[in-house]
Amino acid sequence: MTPTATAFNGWAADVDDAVAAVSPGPDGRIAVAGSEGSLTLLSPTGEVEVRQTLSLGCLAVAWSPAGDRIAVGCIDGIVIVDGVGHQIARHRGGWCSSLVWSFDGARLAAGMGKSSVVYGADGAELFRHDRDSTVTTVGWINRRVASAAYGGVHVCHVSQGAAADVLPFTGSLLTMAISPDRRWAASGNQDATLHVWRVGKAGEELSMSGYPTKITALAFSPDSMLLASGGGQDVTVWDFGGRGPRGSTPRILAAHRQSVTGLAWSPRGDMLAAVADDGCVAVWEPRAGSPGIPLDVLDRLDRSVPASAVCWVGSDRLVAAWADGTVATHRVG
Amino acid sequence: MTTTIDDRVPVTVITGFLGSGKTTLVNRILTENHGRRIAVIENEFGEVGIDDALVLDAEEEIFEMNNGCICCTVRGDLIRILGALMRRRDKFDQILIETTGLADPAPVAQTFFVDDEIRDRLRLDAIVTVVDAAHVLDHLNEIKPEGVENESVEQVAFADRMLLNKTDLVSEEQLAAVENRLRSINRGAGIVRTQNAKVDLAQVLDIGAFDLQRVLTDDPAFLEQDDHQHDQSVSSVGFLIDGDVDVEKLNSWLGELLASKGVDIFRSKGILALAGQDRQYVFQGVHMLFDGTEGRPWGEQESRTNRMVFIGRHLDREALEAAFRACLVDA
Repeated sequence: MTPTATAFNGWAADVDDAVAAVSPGPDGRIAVAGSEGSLTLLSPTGEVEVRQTLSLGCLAVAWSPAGDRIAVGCIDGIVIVDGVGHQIARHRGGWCSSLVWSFDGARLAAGMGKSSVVYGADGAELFRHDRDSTVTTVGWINRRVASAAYGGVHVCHVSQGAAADVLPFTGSLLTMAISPDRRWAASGNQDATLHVWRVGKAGEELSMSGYPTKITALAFSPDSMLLASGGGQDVTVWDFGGRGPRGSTPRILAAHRQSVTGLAWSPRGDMLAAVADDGCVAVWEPRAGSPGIPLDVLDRLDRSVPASAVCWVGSDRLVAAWADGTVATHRVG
Repeated sequence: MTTTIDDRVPVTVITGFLGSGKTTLVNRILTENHGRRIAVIENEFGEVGIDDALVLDAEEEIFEMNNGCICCTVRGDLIRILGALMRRRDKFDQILIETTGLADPAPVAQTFFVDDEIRDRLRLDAIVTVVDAAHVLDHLNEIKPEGVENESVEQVAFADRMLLNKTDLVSEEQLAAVENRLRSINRGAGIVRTQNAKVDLAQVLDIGAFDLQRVLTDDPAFLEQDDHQHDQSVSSVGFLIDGDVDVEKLNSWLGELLASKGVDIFRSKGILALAGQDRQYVFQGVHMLFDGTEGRPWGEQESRTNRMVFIGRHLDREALEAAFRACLVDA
């Protein structure tokens, strides 16, 4: 039997916007970016502390490690606010669907139109690397910044004039994940493939096909051993232990009836949450299963509107968000 | 093939050379009191909300899906922007995409076939090409270097509806000459004469397959015309054939035809009577890609007549017609 839950056991809030992205703050607060342009800050108990309209559409949000900055990616650029929502900086310059703070919070990498840009915490531009098409995802590889766009991943030292390392791929990269141990870069692509490069080892590449549709969600486990991927209604988990996933059989996690829109590993890496267009939030313990054998869900929440974002606050509490503006927390188990 | 009525949001693509009147048409659509909520994706200016409309900016990004095949190029910018648009709670009755004057319509149209998310929720209603009556012949006659497409020929060939604009600037004889030329390329699209892009919006929005039905009925000459063109010029072939179509034969013929001749066949469209189906089957293709949905029910007194149009190069009417007849149930 599969255990099911029809209601979340924590608080629920309404942010009055279709949620595009969520980011947990260090103190249990949640930043919520809305598809119609809003930024909402929720208290640890789900009260709306701040709500403001930033643009005609938000795509991404990232709370800095120290909690003193929140960066919001919009369809027309980037906005940086402080921990209570006061604007620190704003840059217009194109599509911004990805933002990542450096581990110390001193720098912010962002996709900005056809460039990857690094900003200081005050919003000043420190570095820019231009691509031929729109940057869909950025990430840090130690002190270098990686950007995914049509044609592959570029990895740059954050100093002007240095040449980029190119991780090539002929196709449109929709999302990218860097393994926490910095050994692997992976991209989810428009052509329904997953492409993987060994960082720093040119030519060591893997391509996984057979996904029903384009891949827009990817997440490495905190120990870099497992890579979860969307691309259709199932979650496919590849094992990066040992010599890597070459030739291996992935775990297939099936719970959703429509496309997976978001993935998040719990901080300890024991649980994986996935949200999908059918409104379902499902949680598994992927390590409990074996490749090729169906794995029951540990917990699930079902709503009838598309679920669009998920993250964890603490080791066993997840935050999920839906297209009708509902943000809810749920303690798993 | 779907079994329910198509409730996807209609998308109108507006193409035409610089100065033809595209922006005037878009502004006319936006300011006219039609009660529809419209989203516009265009190149000209930044994001602004106009009353009930949402106007978004896009910069053309053409992506190859598959090793340089022109039939598999899509617009990456549209996939992103339409995706973000569909995540909003406010639902639009209509989406307009205004392309640049030099844009190739094929990647725009192919985006609606290739991306699953877009295909599930949006429907390419029509490509509307705005034509400058005074200058279009010069553009159409411009000789391009070997291997380079004449963009205005492509824009005319891809049209489902043509707005012959600026009719006040040319004589009636010139207008007739322009119309003849436009029809020689694309007989499947209706031509509407306009000044300052002033047009009844019912002529450009949500026209879908009705256009095809009207054109084939009103232009019987189209059905007999056989140009025997084997040069590089673009032309069209249309036919009306009574009888019930065998779906499997049809799919296998179209699949084979578009795979082998898809580079030359710019567009294919049809309203078909599938065996055992009470509703019309509305079919459209762009190069190698094709898709179909259910249309309105066949009338009780109506004869089950299949209508089919191909626009492209090296079209062989006899071969196309014979191959289609072979797809009939009693063939």
